[in-house]
Parts: sequence; C-alpha cells; structure tokens
Amino acid sequence: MKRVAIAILVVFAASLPVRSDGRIASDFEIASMQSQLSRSRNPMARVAALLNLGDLRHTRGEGALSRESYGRAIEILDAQRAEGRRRQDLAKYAVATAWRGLAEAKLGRESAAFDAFEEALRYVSDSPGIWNLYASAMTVAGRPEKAVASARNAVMIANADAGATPLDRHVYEYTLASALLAMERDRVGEQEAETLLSGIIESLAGRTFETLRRRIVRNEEFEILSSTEQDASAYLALFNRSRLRLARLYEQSGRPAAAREQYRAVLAARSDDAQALGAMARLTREAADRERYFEESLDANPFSRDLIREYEAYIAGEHPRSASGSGPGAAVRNALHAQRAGRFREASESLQPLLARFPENDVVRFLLARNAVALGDMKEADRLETRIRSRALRGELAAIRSSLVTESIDILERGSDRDPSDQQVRALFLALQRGSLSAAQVAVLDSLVISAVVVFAEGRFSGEETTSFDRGMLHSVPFRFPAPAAFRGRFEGSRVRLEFRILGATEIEGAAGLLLEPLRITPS
Amino acid sequence: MIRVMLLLVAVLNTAPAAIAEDAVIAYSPPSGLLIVARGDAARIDVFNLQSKAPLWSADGPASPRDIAIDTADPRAAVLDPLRNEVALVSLGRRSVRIVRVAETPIAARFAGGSLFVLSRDGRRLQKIDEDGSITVSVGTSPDPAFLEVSGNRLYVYSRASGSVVEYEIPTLRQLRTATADRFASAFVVDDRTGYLVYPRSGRMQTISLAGMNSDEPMSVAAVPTDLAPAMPGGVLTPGTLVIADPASKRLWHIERAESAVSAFSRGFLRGFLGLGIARAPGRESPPGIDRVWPVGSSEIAYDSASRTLYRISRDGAVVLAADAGPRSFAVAAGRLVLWKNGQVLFVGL
Repeated sequence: MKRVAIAILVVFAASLPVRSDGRIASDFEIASMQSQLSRSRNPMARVAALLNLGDLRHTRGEGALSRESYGRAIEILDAQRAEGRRRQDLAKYAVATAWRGLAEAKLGRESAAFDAFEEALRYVSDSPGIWNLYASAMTVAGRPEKAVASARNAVMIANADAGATPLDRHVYEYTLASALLAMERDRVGEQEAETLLSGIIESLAGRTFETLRRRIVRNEEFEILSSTEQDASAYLALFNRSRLRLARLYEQSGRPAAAREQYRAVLAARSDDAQALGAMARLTREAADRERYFEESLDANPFSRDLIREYEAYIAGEHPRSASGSGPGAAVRNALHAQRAGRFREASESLQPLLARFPENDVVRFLLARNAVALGDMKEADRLETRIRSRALRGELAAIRSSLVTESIDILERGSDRDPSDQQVRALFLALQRGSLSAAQVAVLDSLVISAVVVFAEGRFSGEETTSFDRGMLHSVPFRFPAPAAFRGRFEGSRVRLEFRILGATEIEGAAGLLLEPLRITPS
Repeated sequence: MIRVMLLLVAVLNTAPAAIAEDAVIAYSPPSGLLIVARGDAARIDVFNLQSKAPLWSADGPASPRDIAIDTADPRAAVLDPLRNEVALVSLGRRSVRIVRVAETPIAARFAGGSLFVLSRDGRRLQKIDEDGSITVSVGTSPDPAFLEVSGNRLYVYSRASGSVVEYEIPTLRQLRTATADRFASAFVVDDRTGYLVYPRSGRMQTISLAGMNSDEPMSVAAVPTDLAPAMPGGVLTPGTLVIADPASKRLWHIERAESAVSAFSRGFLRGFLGLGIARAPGRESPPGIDRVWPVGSSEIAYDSASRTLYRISRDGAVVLAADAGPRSFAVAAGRLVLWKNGQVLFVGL
C-alpha cells in the first residue's frame, strides 16, 4: 500500500488589503475558499475549502451555512472512499474516511466520528497525520483524554520518522497542546502545553523557517485557515494559533503582561484578528485603548457571542460613549448600547439591516429575539428562535425567557404589582403553553389572584342587571373562560378591570390563549 | 497532506442530525442466549433463539461497539469505547452492571473466571471482578490495540511500539515481551503462535509463544486487514488461517505455523512441501471485504465501506445482508443472527 499522502493544489487568491470599511475579517478567507472551491478539481482541495468555510461560517454565527459546508465535504469524502475501494487504493480510502471523521465531529456527531477514525486506523495506524486528525476531532467532540492520547501517538510517530518535516512536527505538537489545554484544570497538562507552545513559537521564529517567512512576506500571504496544505498557509495558521493558545494560557494563569506580548505579536502579523483584539480590550489598562480594541474586535467579527458578551459587560461597567463608525460591527455596538439603555425598538432597527445582509446569522437572530422578548413580542421571538441553529444560543434564549417567567411570578406573588405587564403575561402564557413551568411555579400561580385591565369581546346583556362575557384580550394575549360568566351590572364598552386566576393554556377558535377563572370585574 | 489546526473555539454547537446507532450482537453458547446492545436506546436486550421479543432488558451503554463473551459461563461484557464504560451482563442473574474503565476500552476477554479489559487511550489493562470492582490495573506500551488469550496467558500487541507483552492470568504480572514490527492491522493467537498482519507491507509475522520471539515477516497478501484461525490442524494439515485482502479482492488461506516436530513429521509425510507456511490459492471475494470470520468450511465476510455481509465459500460469494452494522450480526447454533430494523432476523448458512 502506498504512503499516505495527498498532493493537493491550493491556489490562493491574490492578497487582499487588510479590512476595508464594512468588511469582516473572515470575509477574505471566505472569498479565498469559495474561489478555491469553484476553481479546483482536486477533491481533497475542495474538502479542505469546505471544512475551512464551515469553520469560518461557524466563527461568525452562521450555523446553517456551516453545517451545509461540512455536509458537502462529507459527500465528496464518501465519493473518495468509494473510489478508493473500487480502485483498491486503500490509503485513499483510509484518508477520506479519517477526514469524514473530522467533518462528523464538527457536525457534533461524535459517535460517527469515532467509528470513522477507528476504520481509518485499521489501514494507516502508522500515519501521524491521521492520528493528528483523530486528536483534532476528539478535541472538537469534547473528548480531550482521547485527543491527548491520539496526539501523543502522532508526535511519537513523527519524531521517529525521518521524513516528517519540522513544520509537520510542530502541527502535531500544537494539536497535543490544544488537547492538553482542553482537559479540565490539569496543571501538569498546562505546563506541558506551555512548553510545547513556547517551543513551537521559538522554532517558528528561528532560522529553520527563514526562507518560508521571506516567501510569505514576498507573496503578502496572511490568511488564517484551519485546514491547510501549503507550507506557507500552515506556517501562518500555526504561528497565529500557537500564540493565541499560549496567550490565553498566560491570561488564565494570571500573567497578563506575557499574554499581552503574545496577543501583540498576533496583531503585528494580522491586525484584524478578532480574538487578539478582544483579548487586548480585556487586558489593556487604558480606557481609551479598551474602547478602541473593542471597536476593532467587533469590526473584525461582529458576530462572536463571546466578544458581544464582553462588550456588554464593558458597557454595563464603564458606561462608554455611544458607538461610532459604520458597518456591521458598528451596527451591533449601536444595538447593544440601545438595548442597555432600554431603547429596544432602536436596537431592533440597528439589527434588522444586518439580518437582511446575513440572513443565516444565528447571533443576529439571537440578538433580535432577545430584543423581542424585552419588547414583549413573544411571537416575533418565537419566529426568530425557530430559525436559530445554535443550541447554545437557543439555550441562552430559553434561560432569558425562563428568568422572565420567574421574575413575573415573583412580582405577582409579592403583590406589589398585581397589574402584570404585557411582557410578563406573554412570558407566563408561553411557559404554560410549553409546559415549562416548574411544579412550584405552577402551585404559586394556582394560588394567585391577579388583577388586570382586559378588553372583552362584546358582552351580552341580560336585562338591566347582568352582562355575560366568555372571551377577550389580556394585553396582547387572547383569553377565554371555561364557560360564559355573568357579572352583575351593565358595563358600557368592554374595557374592564378583571380579577382572575390563571388556569392554564387553551385553544380559542383555533389559536392559543389563556384559560382564566374570572372572579370579579369593575369598570376600569 | 492537508494539515489541520484547531480554532480556539471550533465546536459547531448546533443540534446534530440524528444518526442511527448500530446495534451490537453476540451469542453466548453457555446460555444459548443472544445479547443485543442498542446504542440508540442505550439498552441491552437478551433474546433466546426462538423468541421475537426480548426475554429481558436493562439499561446499557449509549455507544456499544463490541461484546466479549465468556465461553465458560453465561456472561458477557459490552464495551463502550466512547464513554469508557463496560456493561457486565450476567445472563444467569438477568442483571447488568455498568463499570467505568480507563479511556477507550477497545478489547476484552474472559479468562480464568475474570474479565480483562484493554483501554487503548488510557494505556491500561484492567482486571474486573464479577462485582464490578477493578482489582488489578497495569500500564501498557503506547497504542495497545489488540488483546488475545492463550492458555493462562494474555497477550497485548501495541501498534506504536510493535511489542507483544505476555501477562499472567489473573495477576497481570508482566512475564515476557516479544518485539514485532509496528502498525499491524490484526493480531490473533492460537495455542502456540501469535500472528500479525501488516496492511502497509502486505506481510504477516509470527510470534512463537513458547520462546516469545518473532520470525521474519513474509508476504501473504496485497493489503491484509484481518485474519482469523480457520481449519484446525490434522495429521496431514497444520491448520489454516484466513486473511482478508480487500486490495486483491481475495480471502487467502494460509497454513498456520507449527512446532518443529509436527512440521518435520508433516514435511516428511508430504515430501517436498517441506517446512514453513504455505499459501493456498485464495478465494475470489467481492471488492472491499476487510473482515472475516470462519464458519465451518466457509467464511462470513464483511465489507466495511458498503456495510455488506457475505458468505464466501468455494462456490463463490453470496450476499447475506446489505446495510448491516459492523457488529450487528453473530453466528448462533449454525445460523446467522442479524439485527435489522429493530428486530432479530435469522439467516441460514
């Protein structure tokens, strides 16, 4: 069986100027990978492009596009596997199977990923590249112990292989360091990772790579990708990722000066690295610098949930001036400022154009949905939520809603404000509809007598003495009674104050609504 | 070669599309029962060979990949290498006990009344008692991939080092080490010899268990991926091994290694055939067969790429099942038992 090697041709687009107004940093890499995808006939080059596209889309909150890219990569890899078998080229089969495993891991299907790698290893257990892929996939799948073992195999095999290049060895060492750092609170692992990363960085800056560095400068290459074939792109990615990892490690272990030094080195090579800019915003001492770094980081990637979270904490703590600039980053900053100030409609107006431009963006949808919850527009929140692919963002939204329900019940229970807001009513209504209230919350709700202004559907008068009602609107939520209720007195118009208990969710003429037990009405 | 470097945050945190987990099946001869471990339901179902419905069920591992059967007692062990669990199944007591073991349990054997589990990524060989306690745990060489038992000895082959280490049962005291070539794709032992096949070189290497020394590798196939003991030896035959070779589209039958005395007597009887291992003409197999299990005078064979199960005999290949999971079948009392679409199917052999 021939050696495992895939010669692929990766043709990079001509170097692009670093960030023009309104562009996101990863736009360059995405354009480059789309170009590679459309021009290359080499299946593995197309796979690399699709995996990179998936990763890039993922970092900017475009979950559906990310999944689509990984899915397309799997289709090509399955064809490669079939061809490998048909032509008795089992190395090709094994390599394609391993890459399929990585794509499966990125899709969150760890079991399928595991099976793919186990299958590949039956043919090529001597390949450090395959072990390295396995380690990467297991790190992605959240199995760091497996990743560490696989990465150690890759490093060990490469070290015993005279044919392995220094760059390859460093890639394997980097994967090992990444896996070690993915282990929870493992001090020994952290020390080993630090040694590995420091060694890689020192080596990359040394004489061994002088020729390669000159070539990178001459060709003005700067793209940072996850799956690389050429030495130059591998060098750039390794340089970037190793420093980011080491910097994060320094940061987490209370060495901010050392962390800043690494982040600065990353920014010296690529001035719009969103992670490094965000980290500098965290670590810098000067308020003006912090503002600038935050601006630049959100310009570089306006859709990083981590960056947005950090910026929100920054706004809350330091009350900076309103956002400035233009482009997606500025729009997100504007929206966050407006949300913080309670100007939710203005926040939505800032975000809506972004959704039109990035229709598959989960983070924009999340921000809009969160805004809709704040506005009490649960229908819109629901509509947006159903299109969010990210489990984390959906979970975050559910937590926001849940806290709103808890808050609503607390307010009602305290009795200080028995007249609930539309937002509170809708939150309770949706929680009842979904059955997501806890038993304790249901018990509290059962015991509460709530007073609110309602709008009845037209009542029926029975002589001068009574008026009968059976349905109406409580703010924006329709309601009905179990049976028509007759109230003593004649109520002109239908807007009244009603005292009631909430019995649950129900159906009203084909639509969802609240089932209320009426107790008393008075003119509002 | 494409290189991969992880992003700082590279987990696609979106809801994965459901992929059906294959079931894993094994047959326990002492009990006459069939064990079906279903990852999709995280259940273990036990059937007899007549029942359509399970006799009993219990919670099981979520990602079962293999089942070790005790040939002496009615019990089994279901391995979940993803979650590092082993389910101890007592068929007599109708109970399942889940035990957490070292990282990535990939092989297990019952021997001397105990269960031994090999965990690849944890680089551990562990002895598990019936009550689920791990009473002995020893380290291994890197990438321990295969665990075999012969007599009262266990043998662990580590791919990355090429070592075959012999352990005493039940103490797991390390006795001797043989050095073989690295990166074999399969390892089996019989009562005298260990056999390793190498997909890269197309060779097979034998280890004498008596002396724990390895022979020079010899060419046996283009890309040997699996091997299994086939016919037992007789007066005129030393017994055979069958080797799956998907590159040549053949199953190769070769003679097993033999002791000098028996080889000499056979060589004497057979004249010029002489000593050593001879390769018989292979049986033509469909493309892609990479796993093989001898059954009587024929073989059950599996194509991992197309998930097709075959029976191979002198008459040719017959498809037994399409889209079969790699461990979703077992041979029980002369019949093939298959788990398909949520039910047990029996196929005559």
